[in-house]
Amino acid sequence: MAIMGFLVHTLREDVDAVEKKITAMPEMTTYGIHQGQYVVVVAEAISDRIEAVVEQVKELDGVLTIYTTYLTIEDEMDENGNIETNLSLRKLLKKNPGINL
Amino acid sequence: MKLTRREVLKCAAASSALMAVGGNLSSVMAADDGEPDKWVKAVCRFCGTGCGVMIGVKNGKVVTVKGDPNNHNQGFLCLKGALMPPIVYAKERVTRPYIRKDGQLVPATWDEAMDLVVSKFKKAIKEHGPTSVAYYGSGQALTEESYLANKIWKAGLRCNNVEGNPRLCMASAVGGYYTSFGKDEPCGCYEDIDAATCFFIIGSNMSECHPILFKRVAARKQADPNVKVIVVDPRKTNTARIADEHVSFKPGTDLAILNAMAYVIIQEELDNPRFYNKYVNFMTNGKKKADFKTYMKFLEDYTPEKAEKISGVPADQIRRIAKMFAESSATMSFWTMGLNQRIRGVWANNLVTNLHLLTGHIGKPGACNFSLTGQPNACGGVRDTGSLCHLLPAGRMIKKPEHRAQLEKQWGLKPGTIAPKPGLHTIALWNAFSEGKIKAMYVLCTNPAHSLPNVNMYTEGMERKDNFMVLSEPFMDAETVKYCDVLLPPAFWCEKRGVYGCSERRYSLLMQAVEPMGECRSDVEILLDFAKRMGVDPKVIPFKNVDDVWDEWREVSSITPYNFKGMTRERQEKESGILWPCPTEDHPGTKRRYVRGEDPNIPKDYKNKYWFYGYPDGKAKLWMRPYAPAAEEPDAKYPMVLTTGRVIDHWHTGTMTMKVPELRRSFPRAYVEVNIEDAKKHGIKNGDNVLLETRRDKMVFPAKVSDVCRPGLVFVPWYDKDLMINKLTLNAFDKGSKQPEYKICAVRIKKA
Repeated sequence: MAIMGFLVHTLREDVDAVEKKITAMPEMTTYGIHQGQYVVVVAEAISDRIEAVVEQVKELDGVLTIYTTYLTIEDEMDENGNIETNLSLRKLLKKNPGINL
Repeated sequence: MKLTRREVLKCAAASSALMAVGGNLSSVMAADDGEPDKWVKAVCRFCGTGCGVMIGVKNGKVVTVKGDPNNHNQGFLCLKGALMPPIVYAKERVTRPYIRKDGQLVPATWDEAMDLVVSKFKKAIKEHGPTSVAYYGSGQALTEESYLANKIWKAGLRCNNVEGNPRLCMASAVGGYYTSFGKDEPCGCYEDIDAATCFFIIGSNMSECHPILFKRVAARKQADPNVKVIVVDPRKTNTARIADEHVSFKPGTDLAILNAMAYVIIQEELDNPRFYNKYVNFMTNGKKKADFKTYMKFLEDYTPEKAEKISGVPADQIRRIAKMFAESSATMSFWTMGLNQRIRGVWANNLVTNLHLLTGHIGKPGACNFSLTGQPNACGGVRDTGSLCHLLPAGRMIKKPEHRAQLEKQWGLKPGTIAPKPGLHTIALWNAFSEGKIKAMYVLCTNPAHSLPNVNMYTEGMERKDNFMVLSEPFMDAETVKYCDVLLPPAFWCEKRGVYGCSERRYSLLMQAVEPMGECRSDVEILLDFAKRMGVDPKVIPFKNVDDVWDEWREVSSITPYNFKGMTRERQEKESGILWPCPTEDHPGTKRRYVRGEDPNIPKDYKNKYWFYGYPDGKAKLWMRPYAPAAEEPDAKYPMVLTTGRVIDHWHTGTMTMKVPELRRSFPRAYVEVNIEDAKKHGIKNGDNVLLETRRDKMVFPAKVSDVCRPGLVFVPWYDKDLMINKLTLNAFDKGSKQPEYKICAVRIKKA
C-alpha cells in the first residue's frame, strides 16, 4: 500500500466543492483548505493504482494541478513477503507532468 | 496518543503537504498544544542541511517546531526536524553531574565532578606530558564550543590531540577540497539547485539523509523536464527513483567509473579546454605537475569497456552519463558518505571534482561540486574552526610554521606556543586510548562507543582502569555513558545560544529558547570552567560568555579568506543565516567562491574571471587518481559486501530520534536489507533472522528482502544500539584523510 501526501491547487471559487468531492473518495483523507486555494490530501492505495488515484483528483472540476510532497511504499510486499519497489516516481511524473515533488 | 505505523506515515504525508503551504500541523499532530507564547529562531539539530526552524515556546517549554520561512529551507522541514520537542524532555536527559564509583555512576556536585576531571588531566600532563590528554568533539557542537575547546587545547594546554566525529563522516571531503583547490568547503550554494540542468548524485541517498535538499532537486527536475538526474549508487534508493540514469555498480569501483566518464568527455570533445588551460594544473598521483597528454595516457586504462569489467556498469551507460554530465548547461554534483567513508575517499572526491574542472561546470549558477555533510555543524564548527589534529582555525595547518606564527600573533601567544607536530587522528587517538597511552580524554556531544568502526576494540579500551574519560552527553542511554568516568550534563540545543554552519557555508544563529533543565550548563560554560580550573592563562581564554567567543572568532577569521567579520551577533539575530566570506557588516554573504564579482577575496579588477586562490598560482588541481580496491574485498570465506547508512526516520546513533515515539515505532530496530536473489539462495524470507558475520564479530538481524541492494550487497542501518553494526565494520582508513571505510567490508550471511 502506497501513501502519498499532496496539495491540490484549485480555483478559489471551487475549493470547497473540490474538498468535499475528495473527502467522499474512498482512498483519500483531507486535512483542510489552506490559503483559500489548496486542499491537503493523503491518498492510500496500492502503488499500481496510485497514479489512477491522482488522475481521478486531477480530473475534478476546478483543480488546477497537484503537488506531491511525500510518497512511501514501504508497506508494499509481494506474495512471498518481499518488498517490491516497483513504483517509479519518474514514470509517475511522466504520466502526470503537473505533479510537483 | 498512540499512533500505528500506518497513521504515522499518514501524518508524515499530511505534514509534508501542510508545511508546503505553511499550514498548522495541529490538524495532523494531536500532541499540539495550541499556539505558543513565542517563536524563537534556531536551526534543526539533525543533518548538515541546516534547515532554519522556529521553536514554539509555551509556559517556558518547547512545544512545537516549524520551518523558518526566511532560511534556505523556505519553511520546509522533514519529519525528524518537525518532531524535535519530545527529545528535549525525554526522561533519559542527564540533568546533573555523575562520577563513577565502584563501577556505578553516582550523582555528584559540579565541583566534585570538575575537581576530579581536572585532577586527572593535570596528573596526566604532569606525568606524561601534554600529548597524553585529548579532546574528542563533535559536528553537533556549536561553533563557539569547538573554537573554544580547540583554543584551550592547542594554545592553553599545548596539545594538538583535538579530534572529533567529523573525521568519521567528511574528512575525505576536506581532503578532496584541499587537494583540488587548496582550500576546504564547497564553492557553491543550495541556490545552485534551482539553476542546475543536470544533477550528478554519487554515494548519497539524499532522499533519506538530506530530504529537504532532495525535495529541492526533485522540484527542479519537475519544473523543467529537460533537467537530468544521474544517481550512482549500488543501492536502488528512493533517490534513484527520480533518476534518468541509475548506475548500479560493484561497491568500491566508482573510481574507475569516474575516470571512464572523464575519458568519454574528452573523446567526445565535450571538455572545456578554454577553462582548464587557464585555470587548472594536471597532477600525477605522485604530486608532480603534468600535462594534458599525460592525463589522456592515464585515462587509457579507463575506457568505458575497461571500466565495465571493473565496475559491472555497461560501457554504454558510462558513455550516456558522461555525455549528460558534460552536455548540460550547468551540472551540480552531490556526494556524501558513499564517497567519503572509504580508504580512497580523498581520491574519489578528487575524481568528481576533475569532471567539473574538465568541463568548466564550476563557479556559475547551477554548476558546482557539492559535498553534503551529515551533521549540523561539521562544517561551521569543526572544519572551519580547525578543530582537528592537523588543523588550525580558518583553513590553516599546524605543520606550516607561517600558519602557526600568524595564529600565535592573533591569539597573543608567545612564538612557538602551538606545538609544531599534529596530534593523533581519530582512529590513532582511540587506538592510543585503548592502549593506555592517552591517559585523559574529554568527549563532548558524541557517542564513540556506538559510532567508531570495529567498535569492540575501542569499548574494550574504554573499560581500562588506567585511563580516564569525561563525557558531556545529554542522554543517559547513550552507549558511551556506560564507559565514562565522569558524566557532565550539558544544556541541549534549544537551551543554549550559538552558531551552526551548514554544508553551504551558511552560518545561522540558534537563539536560546528555554532555560537548561536541572543543573545543565552550556558546553561553553563547562569548557570555560575547565580552562580556569586547569590554570590556563586568562589572557588566552579571556571569555565571559558565548558571544565573546564568537566575537574573537570573527576577528581571527578576518585576515583569512574565510572572513566572516561582518556577521555580528546583531545581524545574526535578525537574519536567517549568512554565507561566508562576509567581510563587512553590509556584505550580503557569498554565494559562489573563486568567482570575480562574487567572492570578496578577489579584487573587482582582477584580470581573470576565476581565481583559485588556495594555490599560489591561482589554479585548481586535476588529479590522476587510479582505481584501487577496497581494504577488505569479498572472498571465498566472506563472499558478500556489507555497507551501512541511515534511514529517513533516524539519525546517527539514535539517541535523539529513538526518543520520538512516532519515529521509534516506524523503525524500532535495525534490519539487514538483502536482495531477492541472495535471499532465495540462502532460503531467507522477509522477517527471518539472518546471521551476519565479518572478521570482527557476528550478529543476527531481521531480514528485509527487497530489490534495493544489488545482488552480493547487504545494507544495515547503524542507529540501533541494541543491534550495533559497528561491531562488524572495519577500521581501515584513508591514508590522506584518515577517514575509516565504513561503506565496504566483506561479510557472509546465513539464515539464523
